[in-house]
Amino acid sequence: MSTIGWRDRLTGQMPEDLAEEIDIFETQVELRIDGRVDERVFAETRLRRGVYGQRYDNGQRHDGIEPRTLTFPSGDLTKGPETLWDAPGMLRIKVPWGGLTPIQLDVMAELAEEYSDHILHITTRQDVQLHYVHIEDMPTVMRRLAAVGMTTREACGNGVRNLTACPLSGVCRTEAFDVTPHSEALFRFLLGHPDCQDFGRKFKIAFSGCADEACGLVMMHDLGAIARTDIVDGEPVHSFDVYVGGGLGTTPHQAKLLAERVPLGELLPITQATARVFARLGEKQNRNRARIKFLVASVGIEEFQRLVREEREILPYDPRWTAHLEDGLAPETPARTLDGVGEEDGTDPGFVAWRDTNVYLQRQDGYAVVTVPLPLGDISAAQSRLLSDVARRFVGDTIRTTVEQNIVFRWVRLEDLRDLYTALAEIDMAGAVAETIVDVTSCPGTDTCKLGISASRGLAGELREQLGAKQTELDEAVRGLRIKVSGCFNSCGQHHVADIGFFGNSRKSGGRVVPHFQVVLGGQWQNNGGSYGLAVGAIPSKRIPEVVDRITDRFVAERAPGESFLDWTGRTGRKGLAAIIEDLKTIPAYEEEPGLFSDWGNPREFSIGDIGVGECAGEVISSTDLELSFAESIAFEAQVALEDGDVAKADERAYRAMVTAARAIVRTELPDVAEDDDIIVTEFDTRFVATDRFRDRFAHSKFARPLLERHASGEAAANEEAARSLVEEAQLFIDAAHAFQIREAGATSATQ
Amino acid sequence: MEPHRIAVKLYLENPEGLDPEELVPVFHRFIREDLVGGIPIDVARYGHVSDGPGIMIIGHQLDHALDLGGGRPGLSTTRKRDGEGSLAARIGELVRATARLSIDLEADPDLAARARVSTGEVLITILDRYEAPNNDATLLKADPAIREVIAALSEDGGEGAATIERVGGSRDPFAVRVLLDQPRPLIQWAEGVGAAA
Ligand code: HEM
Ligand code: SF4
Repeated sequence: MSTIGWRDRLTGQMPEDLAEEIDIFETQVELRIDGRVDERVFAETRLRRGVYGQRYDNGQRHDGIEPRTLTFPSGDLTKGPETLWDAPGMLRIKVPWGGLTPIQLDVMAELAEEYSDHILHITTRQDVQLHYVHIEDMPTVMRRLAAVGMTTREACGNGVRNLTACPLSGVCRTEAFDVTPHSEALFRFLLGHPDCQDFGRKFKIAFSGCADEACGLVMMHDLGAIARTDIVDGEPVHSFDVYVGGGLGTTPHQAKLLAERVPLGELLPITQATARVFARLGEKQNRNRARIKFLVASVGIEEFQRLVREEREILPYDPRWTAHLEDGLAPETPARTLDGVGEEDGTDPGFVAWRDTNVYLQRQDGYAVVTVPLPLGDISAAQSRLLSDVARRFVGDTIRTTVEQNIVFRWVRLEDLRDLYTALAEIDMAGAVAETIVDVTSCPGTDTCKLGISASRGLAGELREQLGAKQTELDEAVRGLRIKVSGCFNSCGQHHVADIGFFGNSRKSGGRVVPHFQVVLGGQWQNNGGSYGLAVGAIPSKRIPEVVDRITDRFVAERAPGESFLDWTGRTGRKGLAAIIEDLKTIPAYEEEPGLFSDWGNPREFSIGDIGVGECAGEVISSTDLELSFAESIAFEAQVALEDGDVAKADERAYRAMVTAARAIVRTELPDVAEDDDIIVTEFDTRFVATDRFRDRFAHSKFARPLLERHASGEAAANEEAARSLVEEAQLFIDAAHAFQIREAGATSATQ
Repeated sequence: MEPHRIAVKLYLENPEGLDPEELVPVFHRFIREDLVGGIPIDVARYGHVSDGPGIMIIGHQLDHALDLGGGRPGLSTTRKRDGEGSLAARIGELVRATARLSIDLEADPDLAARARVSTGEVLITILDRYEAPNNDATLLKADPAIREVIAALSEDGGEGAATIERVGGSRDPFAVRVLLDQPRPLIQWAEGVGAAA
């Protein structure tokens, strides 16, 4: 009833192109129900409209004791391979440059109540997600969003994802100039652009107003633009430095400079040319090598620059390239003008603490940006409405989301700070935690993500609680640190750029699987995510709060005056850092500490059965486990060598770690395999890779490839970056070997 | 009226005695032991969000929750799909389901009788702004169905046994608070309302 009703009511209120898109999607939903669209085609169709699968949508769920089948009414109708029709899914709503208005907040709140679980979730790329939405409700949700100018188009799938930008753009004290109008123009230009429909993988863009701060995180993006102002003949000239080929994930890359001082009017065409080169030359078959970072790495940045220049020259002229410049770049204006009263002082401790952490003075006199912290990026529908009322009262349409999963209000008059604090405190949204260690960010992890290994949100919530309770006692240097958590190696929680980062993995012990997090220290948030942290060891999930305590205590104890966490981790070195947590790796017998065998916020006994095939059962500690731990030590040596600047050694150790792990796997079938690299690699390849047994269901055979390639070529890494990649890949290979072993154990016990 | 979603909530009498997180293992067990209706899928934890859905059992047809909405914790059931019958039948079904959930939680050994549900008040919400915007016109339309459900609660089926009040603002979902003149035992909520269906 209301589906048709909404369509009729909203006709004319939606931008035409979006309305048409949604009609097409709705038809595809109907065709799929009738079996007239192939499931793979439908899957790509929905992904390109922001409609993602969710955990358990293959109809299987482990209830803590045994796997159970979810029998949905629509039976085996699917919305993609192994994705059941009726299983609830996620909808990602694009929020370009994080800009939101109160009416948009209101509408999303309505949708959360009527179609989702009453929660708006802010992601690590400034988007909003609704979870547990039924596929048949999606078109109505999209229409209601479109009516307030919001889209889900290309929020997932192999296209241009949400475009992110510093939440302080336009009001920041250190920016070169306001990147907002340029971000908006580029976003609109690329949305649905024909040149962006044929990528082998997703493409993420970010803008930053300056080079030194983090807000834009340009260096970890497929394409990024950093604003700069030069003085030419005594006049300020604005332009962008454009970077390409950055990215996180399993093989993190720092972006490289594509073009310096790109004039404002050249930004859109240069991006378009880049997109064309990527569409034409980027990898299509192998998803794991398909991001633009691999293309840039394989052809080299100089050649890539040349290709883009060449493409740019033959681009047909498009008036949209400069239309936004000709319209004039109207700056955002405050909802309330200053009336000269000046800032009102507050002395109560709550206000003072909040003012210290959550208030940033704008470059415009008399105004400030206020952070509204959202725990784990979550805000309820009811709270959203209350918050939109507060926004209407104080700042109007100048709300933004942040990659730290918070909301900011811009253009708050200093004289209103006291009243705003009171209004936010009344709705429980005035926690004094912004940009502190308490404000942990996290990907969805095992809560809703199909690929999640460990409970990133469970851990983040726990850390938030524990650190929040002692926030005032924390040393000043510790309070300002950042913690970021991902549920697996895919890095959606951006753990690489945190001071203290974690990503989920698992280890086997006594026939059971124990949830773990890999500890990643010393990532750099500044300089737009200027360098990535490296792994120092995997620790059982339940002991991670202890890891945080130990690392921060040591930092405080050993820190030289003024020394940053980044410098301290660099000085202490990987070995020294690993030693701090080494003893926490030991896993006792289940009976001694059963709590270790379940994850945060999830009392079910831990299982990775909800991600991959098979179940872990009945294995006692094997020689394979021992040999894999050996391989891990070697990988660790590789990391230490890397840190010491010994590229050759890092390369050799990384390779050796992989051969050792491969040997452990080979020995499960060929216990007497010779200590000969050729034989080990050949056996490994023919028995496990070629037969697809080492194939990860989601990552496919990508973890095996670095070993096979390095072995076949016999060539050592040519430079530090290549060695760094190999070291990372060695760690991932070992993780994959653990996962393989768990899968095989499950398969064996299932056939017994 | 065939609204998209309807929810019914009974309030906790002693919310301070119960940490919402305590419901997490209990709800996982309820799923394991097939104690809730429909096809339950997973437990969602939102105890960290003020004025939010709290701890939920997300299902295909129904969601169950220790719901923190309105700052007043309570137990709620939401029908999301496959609702059937008249509006009164739909509301009645949810009242019974919520009462049964309440009975189960009050008796749950892990909660050691710390959950106590107040039985003189119920919140009925219609989550469908197209069919049921929160205004007096919707109240007029829904009122007979609500009265039918309430009448089934009292032995004499008499009118006037309750006060019905529409709550919330125009942007909130349509919601009515029903205050019974006399509380009724949960078992009567769980069974008595059957008459309305
Ligand atoms: C092979 C699979 C995946 C890879 C390699 C991957 C990788 C990444 C990376 C590197 C980021 C963020 C860093 C950035 O800002 O660029 C990200 C963002 C994100 N990912 Fe994933 N991801 C994968 C699958 C998933 C899945 C299945 C989910 C859960 C449904 C998920 C949820 C998210 C979320 C919520 C964000 C923030 C997103 C946004 O608003 O755009 N990811 N992903
Ligand atoms: S990091 Fe892993 S668990 Fe987290 S959202 Fe990404 S794919 Fe899922």
